[in-house]
Amino acid sequence: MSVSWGIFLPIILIGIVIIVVVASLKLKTILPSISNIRLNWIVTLYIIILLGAVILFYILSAQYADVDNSNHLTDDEYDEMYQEFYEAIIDKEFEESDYVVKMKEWTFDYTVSDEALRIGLADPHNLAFVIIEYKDVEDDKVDVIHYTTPTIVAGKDVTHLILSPDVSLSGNQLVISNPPYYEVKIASLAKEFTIRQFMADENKPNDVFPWRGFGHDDILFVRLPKNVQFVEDTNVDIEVIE
Amino acid sequence: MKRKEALMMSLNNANTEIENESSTNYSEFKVSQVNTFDATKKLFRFKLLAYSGTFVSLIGIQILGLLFSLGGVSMAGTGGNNMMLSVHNFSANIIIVFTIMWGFVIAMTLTTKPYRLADFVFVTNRITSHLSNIIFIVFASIIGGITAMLSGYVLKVGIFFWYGAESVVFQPISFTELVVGIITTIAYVALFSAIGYFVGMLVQLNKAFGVVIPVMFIGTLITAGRRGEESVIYSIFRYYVNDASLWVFVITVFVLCYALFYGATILTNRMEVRQ
Repeated sequence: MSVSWGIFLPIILIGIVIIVVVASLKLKTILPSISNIRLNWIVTLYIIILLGAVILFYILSAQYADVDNSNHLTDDEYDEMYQEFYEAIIDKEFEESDYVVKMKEWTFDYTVSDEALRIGLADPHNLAFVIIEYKDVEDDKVDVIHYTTPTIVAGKDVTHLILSPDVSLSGNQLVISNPPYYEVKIASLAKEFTIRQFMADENKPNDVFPWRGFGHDDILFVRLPKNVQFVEDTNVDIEVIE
Repeated sequence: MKRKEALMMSLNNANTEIENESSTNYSEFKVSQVNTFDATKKLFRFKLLAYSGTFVSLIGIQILGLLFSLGGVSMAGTGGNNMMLSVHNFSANIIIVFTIMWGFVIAMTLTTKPYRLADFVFVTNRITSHLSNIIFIVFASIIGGITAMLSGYVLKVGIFFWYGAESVVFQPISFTELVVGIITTIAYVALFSAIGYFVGMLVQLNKAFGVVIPVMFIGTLITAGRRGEESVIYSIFRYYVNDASLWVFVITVFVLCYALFYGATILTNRMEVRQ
């Protein structure tokens, strides 16, 4: 029988509105020096600010509104995207797929020794998925490329805001360090309910879950010289492709 | 008492301004018949001048709504791989809701005794008094509706510069959408103002309504909250929100406003003159 405090919100808001309205109506009695002319100036200034903002919004909108609502996917399409991302990496069709985004690449000099190359994570609580391809040559170089799925919020590609892990090679240790915890804040300039009420567009993303491709499946694609042996830590999932 | 005197002084000043503009020679005593249209027009102009504080309060309310909107009207977030992705939606929704409440409060204020008495400074009767109030409320609703929608642009431009271009998702608003938004906002403000006017008149008729109506309002919210259901008030609102056609919505609001204003006029017939 508990009552949600949320139901008191409208009452509190109405209280605030009443206080502000009553205080404003008494403005002339509290401050008799405020004449109608001064009030007109306040109103005029407010109107100028409003109109200025409208003009500026449409200028900015023309320049930055790069939203492509066709990017919005259904749940089934999400699954399809992850599958296609994985298959494209396995088949090495990086350029052909729309769902593979190359984020960062590293090249390390590596001298083959008796010990195998150990691939591990800096933080043992993290996970990583690594695909290894053997090169046809013994060039003493280890190439690492970070691929991810596109992250699209309300039709806008924000994949560039996703951080890549840090990869380092020290001795025979290839260490993957996921970035420290971080937050990507996106501002969606949504339409008002008075517009959406009558101008709803089924093709446009809703306000609640406006992203697609989230989870940004990450794959580290590692190319090793053909004479290098490797071992992996338990929390690193490795798949070797031809 | 002091407040009442101050209000009357302010009203008299406004009246003087209108009289100065008028070509009527008051030094010469004559019996003249004032028609309803002229009297209503005069009263409306008087109210525009005398109640200019109304529009200052509108600006205040919209700035307050804008400040409340800075945190976003809704937020969705998800996380994984040491990362949290949060999407904050920004729109003028809170400003519009505040403007609707402003309309309700302003209309109620017009029904209070000092404001009704002020009309008798002019040659007037209840009909002209009501008509001028209704025209003032409709005018205030139009101003409120337009400015509420436009203030959303101030918020959005501010957020754009705060977040930076690369973190902002634009949902472009076409001219048609803007017009539809303005019409709908005006309709909402007018509807709630009409409700405020009707409720205000009910309270003037019998002070007991001043207790009964808020108790009913809060009571339905609490009862519905306990049952985990939506309140009757919300159900009625949802009916309007889900309404399919803009013109059906506008016509329904117009009919409801007409009924509420007519009801308020009928109610005052039961009141004594200058009560």
